[in-house]
Amino acid sequence: MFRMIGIEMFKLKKRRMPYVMLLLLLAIIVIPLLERYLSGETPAETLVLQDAMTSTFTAVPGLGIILVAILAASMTGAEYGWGTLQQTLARGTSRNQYLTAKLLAIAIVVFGGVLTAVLVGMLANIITGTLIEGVIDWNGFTGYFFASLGRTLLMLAVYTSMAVFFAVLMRSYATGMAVTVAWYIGESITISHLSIANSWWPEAARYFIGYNINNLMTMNAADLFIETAPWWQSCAILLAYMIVIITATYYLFRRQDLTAQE
Amino acid sequence: MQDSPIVKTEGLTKRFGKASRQILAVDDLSIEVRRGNIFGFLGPNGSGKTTTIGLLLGLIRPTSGAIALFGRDVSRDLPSLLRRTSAVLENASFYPYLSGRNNIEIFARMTGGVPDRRVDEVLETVGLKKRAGRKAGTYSLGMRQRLAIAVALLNDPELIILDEPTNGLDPSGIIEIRDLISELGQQGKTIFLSSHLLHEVEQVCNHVAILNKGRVIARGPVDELLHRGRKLRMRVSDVNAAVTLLKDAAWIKTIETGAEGGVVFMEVDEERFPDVNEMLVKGGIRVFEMKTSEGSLEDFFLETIAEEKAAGAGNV
Repeated sequence: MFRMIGIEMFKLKKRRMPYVMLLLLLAIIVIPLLERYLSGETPAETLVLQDAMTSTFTAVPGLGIILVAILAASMTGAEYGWGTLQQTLARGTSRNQYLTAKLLAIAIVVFGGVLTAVLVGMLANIITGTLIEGVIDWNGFTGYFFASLGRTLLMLAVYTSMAVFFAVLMRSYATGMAVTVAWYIGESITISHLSIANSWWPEAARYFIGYNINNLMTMNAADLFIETAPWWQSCAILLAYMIVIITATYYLFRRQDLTAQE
Repeated sequence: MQDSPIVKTEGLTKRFGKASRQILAVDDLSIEVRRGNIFGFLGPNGSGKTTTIGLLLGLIRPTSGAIALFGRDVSRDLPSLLRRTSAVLENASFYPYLSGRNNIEIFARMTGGVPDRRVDEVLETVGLKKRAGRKAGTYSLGMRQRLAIAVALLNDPELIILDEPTNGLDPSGIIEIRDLISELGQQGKTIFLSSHLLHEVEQVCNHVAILNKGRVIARGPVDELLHRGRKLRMRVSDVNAAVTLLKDAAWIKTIETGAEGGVVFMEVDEERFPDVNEMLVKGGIRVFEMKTSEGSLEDFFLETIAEEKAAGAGNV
């Protein structure tokens, strides 16, 4: 298994896409801070790091969902198009082993990317916020940092598994990615309509992926936090979705007929 | 050991699609490939060859029937059986953004236990060493085919499955691959060669099965099949009279005139040759030459397919 994960990482290391994505994510985090700094705005004497990091912890899952959808769909779906999936399985790699290695490699890359992004965000905040004799207020930061990191990873994990599922279902990178992004956008629109509808529709909306993602995302923006559902409930619902999606992916992948080239 | 089947299928059937619009790709296929054989799997395009290979490699799930590799049911432990096998799939496919060498390295790591020097050896064997640094996406079909063969040779497989391995190769490349297959056969490897190129199969294979519309319509050692296609060629004084005289003989299977004047071909058992001669001489026809002409696999293949078509039409 470690060998297969290593191979997946090697394949990814040689592609430009993950680097471009990471740069994009970092740019989204760093550019607003630089802009604020360069505008000559005088920073507060004390940098409350927890408050400063809310922008990072809302930007990372916000853009990250789209990026992980592209990355996960590409890592999975492209192998159908290239025909390398058949080549790999014909060499004695079991389907379970292949899919598990793929999922773990994606998880490692997403984790690494998120960690890099939030650490760069933290560093950029510290640098731009303390350049003029500022001091850092670390109060409550550690708890917020790890809770937000966990929430961010969970949010991204749901859409990662969804992108892998659709890429396997459609046997295509582009379609898998498009359907996942369409789902993300479509669900937001549906939820906003359901929330203002009568009867039990608003209650039903609470069980949608998007609703719970929004809930966790507002928790990341701690100062704006208005609890719409308990955090554990949102986490449990998202975890349940993820388990169902991953189970369905394994079921589907194990049963697929892989003809010469998809 | 010589007699243990390395590949065995029994009643293998594959249907694609839903019940209302099913396509029968492989129909009750039962074949056996023995250790050390170079087995030709012949058939026109769309006859089910690639689907059969997909079934053998576990890429496609059978609708019914059984497959055994190395005497073991593939449904039990396919990955370990495939590690004793190598396959060159149709339309050899690689990671286009990686170099040829990187691609081979990936498959070497996947296989496990392949020493680094082996990568250079296989690149040398298939003549790609100088171009191994180029991205595989820029390779021609022939180069990709060579790369696929290089990957297949990485480990020391007991069974090599080749699906149209000479696709896209130039004539010299075809000869190289043909020689390589013969060499591998001499090393005791079992080779399953799927092709629609009859000449290729005739030259390298010792056993063959002919597939049409998913069914095996003929099988056996190549020599035997060629022998079946062997004809008696006679040069006579009056072709039309000879045909009229002989056509009613029940033991003559077929009789036809040749393209060159004065020549008649017939399918007849060897022990009947003197009888043919006697009949002609008694009928006042002079016989100038009498010899057997070797059939080719192509003749046999075309005749078998034609017979199959005729039988199909008869059943309608």
